Amino acid sequence: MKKFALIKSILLKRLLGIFGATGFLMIFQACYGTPQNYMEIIGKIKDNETGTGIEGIQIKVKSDYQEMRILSDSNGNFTTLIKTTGYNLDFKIQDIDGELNGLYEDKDTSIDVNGQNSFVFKLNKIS
Amino acid sequence: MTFSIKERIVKRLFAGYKKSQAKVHPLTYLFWECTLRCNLNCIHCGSDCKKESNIKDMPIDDFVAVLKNIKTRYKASEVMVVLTGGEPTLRKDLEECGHKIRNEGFPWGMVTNGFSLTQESFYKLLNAGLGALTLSLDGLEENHNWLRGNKSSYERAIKSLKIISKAPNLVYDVVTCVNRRNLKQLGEIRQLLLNNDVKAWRLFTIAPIGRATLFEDLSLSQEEIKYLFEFIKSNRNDDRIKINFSCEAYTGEYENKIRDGLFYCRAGINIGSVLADGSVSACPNISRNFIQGNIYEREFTDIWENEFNFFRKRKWMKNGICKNCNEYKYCLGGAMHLRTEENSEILSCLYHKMNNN
Repeated sequence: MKKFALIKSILLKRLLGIFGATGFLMIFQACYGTPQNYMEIIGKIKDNETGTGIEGIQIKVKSDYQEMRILSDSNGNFTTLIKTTGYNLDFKIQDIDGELNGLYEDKDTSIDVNGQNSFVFKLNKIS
Repeated sequence: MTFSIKERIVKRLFAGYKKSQAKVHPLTYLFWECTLRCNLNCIHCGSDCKKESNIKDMPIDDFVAVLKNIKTRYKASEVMVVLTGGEPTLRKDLEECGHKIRNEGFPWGMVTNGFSLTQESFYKLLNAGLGALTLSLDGLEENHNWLRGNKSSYERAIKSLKIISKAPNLVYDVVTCVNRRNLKQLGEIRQLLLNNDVKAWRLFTIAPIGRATLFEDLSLSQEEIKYLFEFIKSNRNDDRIKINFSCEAYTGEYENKIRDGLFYCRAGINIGSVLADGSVSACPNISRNFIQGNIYEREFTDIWENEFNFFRKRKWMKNGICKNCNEYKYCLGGAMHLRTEENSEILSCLYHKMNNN
């Protein structure tokens, strides 16, 4: 019973996502409570030489509370919400689609965010 | 009242989501009423807190035992702990509490009136893992001090605001309880917040509970509710400050136009609480008649999993003005803090007030 409700809940959440309504499901705020400490991360993956966005790059971003995994879109953009104390984020950037959108070197970096929520990463193409 | 097809689909899907969540009831938000003592004397206090309380503050280790118990069923990182009161900053061991909660792996935040916060104590709390904060500011000086029952409360709150707003890593918002006296000052309050680099502002109306029942000035009329909602709606496009109406009530045609999400009272579904005397409930401002157990008698998770039926099966709330209301399927009888006991009728409904003379 509970398992069925859980599956239903996940499916409905995904359906609501199609209508652009997932954010508030995740980051609700009790009416007399504080906001939850989620941070919205906005970023772009670029080719280091040409500056154009790269599609299909996997970005793993890890805070001291959780890890999120996302893919860059056709313009190289990505966005996610992550629960964090807001101090440090570890990014692991990997080309996982092989030569499909060009072959790029991986990148690992740790950033002291200090209020910053927008990130640009430039990757070197492997020729 | 007309809704677009997309709005109707979202509302339907969301109603289904709420039903399934009630069955799964994953705990994701836990209040800890860490003290009932308060340094102010607010006339709208829903908890009816006093300077001294008969109930002693719960020892932090008792609360940590609850957290350890919660960790047997839930990932600590997915449960937000929120310290409330009373006024949490009156606890002398608040920093230690923060460290211990953080050491158990729980993100934590605090609701404060800002009266006794200092630069030093704030830094200590940040170092103890404070990740989110809500500060009360209920108007310009005269009205804030009137509502808070203290002539220097405004000055202290602004001082705290200046300290808090300089912390780049903190998620915080300012909340304002809107009443008849400060309603027409909302534009000026907004400017004051902008001048202090506040990025998020949440507006409440005042529920007729606790001491608030004694003051008529606190309750908004039909026109005043509409004025408030129109104010929020017309100011939500400004990227400098995000304005939200609190998730305290269903608002009909204003749903999703005056706050980020649709109305959903998650009390007892995602939200639980440990009250000062060890009682277990949902939000701390909910009537004590809905207490579900006590941590000194049973484990928290046992209470969470096996009680809370009145919170999760809300058909009993379809009474009084809710009985024949067409919007019941979306609001499910409003917020739990507006019910005094099982089978009681809703104390007030903003949607009903807006649409009926």
